[in-house]
Amino acid sequence: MDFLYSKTRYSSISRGDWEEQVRTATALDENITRRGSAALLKEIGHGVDRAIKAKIKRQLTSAPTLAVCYHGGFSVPRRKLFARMFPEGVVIGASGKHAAHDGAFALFAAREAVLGCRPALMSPDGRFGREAGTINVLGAQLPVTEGAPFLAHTTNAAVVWFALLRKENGFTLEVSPGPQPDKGERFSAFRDRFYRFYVDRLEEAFTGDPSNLPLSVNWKLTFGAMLAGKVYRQRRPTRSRDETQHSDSD
Amino acid sequence: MTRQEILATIRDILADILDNESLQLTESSTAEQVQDWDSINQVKLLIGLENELNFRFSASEVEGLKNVGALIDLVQRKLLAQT
Repeated sequence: MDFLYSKTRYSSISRGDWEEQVRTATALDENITRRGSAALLKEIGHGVDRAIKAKIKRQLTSAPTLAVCYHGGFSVPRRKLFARMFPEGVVIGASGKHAAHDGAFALFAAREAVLGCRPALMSPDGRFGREAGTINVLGAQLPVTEGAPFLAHTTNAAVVWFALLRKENGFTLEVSPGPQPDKGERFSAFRDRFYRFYVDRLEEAFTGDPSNLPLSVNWKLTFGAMLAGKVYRQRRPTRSRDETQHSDSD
Repeated sequence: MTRQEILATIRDILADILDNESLQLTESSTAEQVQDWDSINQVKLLIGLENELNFRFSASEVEGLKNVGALIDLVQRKLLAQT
């Protein structure tokens, strides 16, 4: 908490008020995730303005699109809402039909969907795939894979950041445009652009409105490891040969 | 194409993807047994086969492929469907 408060763009809020808002957001997120019924999740979806949902539906189905998000920021209701809005799309995650235990199938299914203008949703900060490098988020090193940039590059998809945010007494959706592969762009160049965008969005979230900053276990461990001079690595279920620390949370 | 010819095609495509010209595959080979044959390279292999043999896999067809032999079975079915 001290570390994140030192990075916040909301420094006009007192430390106590900021922490209170983060703790409230975290408790709300945990409650929705652990105890949220299907009815509650449906209600959250219904609470999002219809015009906003319709606009996002049009945007994400008008061309090949890969939506990305992270393991934080109301990730479970966000995934559920995405699946409800795009029933023909693909949500890649730790569980469900397109789960990481068959990464090739999940990626191939996502490719098929994206090429058909049915969007896919991925969280590149998760444990899906083989570690291929690290990104630096507010000083913390996060091991990442190449699944998301590969998918966007191979389908020439537009990348968007897909966020579910608290607004007044409910939630709203926000979609921010990201990079799209240029014609003939090499994968390595696109991957670098992709991760620059992703890091920007993550840092925006972590330094932004504390009422939209529920802290996930993975990110607590990531920042905690950084403060201890270490790198936190999640257990990767798909053919990883580099496992140093383990976590089942996703 | 015979099974041997399909195996050779798979080997050649995968050797190129993995940049490993000495790659050896048998029908019982699995991705876990081959260095760097991860999910991304598996998808690259499938795309390479599509381009080489002029058909398209559906996602449901490639789910749970256990080994190279299962992939050869699938390729044979796709080629048969073309004729």
